[in-house]
Amino acid sequence: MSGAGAAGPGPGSLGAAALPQLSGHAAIVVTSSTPLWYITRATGLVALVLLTIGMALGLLTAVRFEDRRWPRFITIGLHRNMSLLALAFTAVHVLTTITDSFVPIDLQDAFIPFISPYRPFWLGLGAIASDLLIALTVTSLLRARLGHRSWRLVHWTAYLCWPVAVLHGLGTGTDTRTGWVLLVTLLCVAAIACLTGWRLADGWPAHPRVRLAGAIALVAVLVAGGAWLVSGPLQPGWSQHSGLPALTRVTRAAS
Amino acid sequence: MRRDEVRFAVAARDDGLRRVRRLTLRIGAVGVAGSAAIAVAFSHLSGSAAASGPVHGANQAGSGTQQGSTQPGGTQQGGTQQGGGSLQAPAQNVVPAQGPAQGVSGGS
Repeated sequence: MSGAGAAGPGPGSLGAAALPQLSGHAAIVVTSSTPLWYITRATGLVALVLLTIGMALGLLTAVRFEDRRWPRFITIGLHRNMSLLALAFTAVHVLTTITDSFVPIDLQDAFIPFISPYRPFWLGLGAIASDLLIALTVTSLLRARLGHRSWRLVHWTAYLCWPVAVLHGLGTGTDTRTGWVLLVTLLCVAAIACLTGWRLADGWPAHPRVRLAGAIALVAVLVAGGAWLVSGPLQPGWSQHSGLPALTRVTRAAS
Repeated sequence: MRRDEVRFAVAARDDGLRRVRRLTLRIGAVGVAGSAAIAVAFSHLSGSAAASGPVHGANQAGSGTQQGSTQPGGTQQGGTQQGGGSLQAPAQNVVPAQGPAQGVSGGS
């Protein structure tokens, strides 16, 4: 979920302190030098890792994994707590993105998909993922009142929430080409793919066609995702395709 | 169920809950520390990209590992985000521009 937000140059960037010397000579384009942008990206990545751990524990719960030294209620308890932690880090991710004011991302952009002027599609995926995460958490907290069937129906959207969050992180493109960030993301994908494969192999013994279709879909998604990653976010110039901030257009129009 | 078995089950449950709490706290702490470390790493990456990257010419390909992608506003500098990243402080003193609106990195 790294991703969408304002600019933040590194050390040595032209900051506000340089403005008095230069103002009056030219209209200077200045990026914000706030650490919020770094926190946004860091918390996004950590939220993805926590979401992955939560999802993995959920899958382990679904396949009824247990051991003498690792009873199932520990898996269930950790699954719940990891999901809450992921939600907390997502909240920080969203808050820092909104607070960092260089790119116009408002509160509604973080929750209503595809309305942001900045990288609308990829930021919209992040909005969908955060909405789904909130829905999953709230319905799990209200599980006793909702009933098992309704809760289960909503909980199936976890299989949508996680890949959408991964796509948001990769597609926004801020850190996709950074080696270790890509490695962390790919490890998350590999873990969930393996556990989903286990889930498909283990679950629905009376419905072999469902399992087969699920396995084919899993492989197809992985292949398509890999091809998209190589031909898209890992290519130079990807950021240009992911949407221009409105400020850029204003700056261009002025110049 | 005998009293010993009940006692054992309760102890096992309490132990499990303690483990869940302990693991949650540890993972949460690692998450916070990891976020801080990653944020610092990103700032250092930007710094090294700034040190090794081109000062001018935002349309050039970035030389740092970030490839300029740390700058969502990189498009300001001539319409590319793969270019030299943020507006960098030049190594030499800035000569004031005589013309109208102009980006320092010369991208516009």
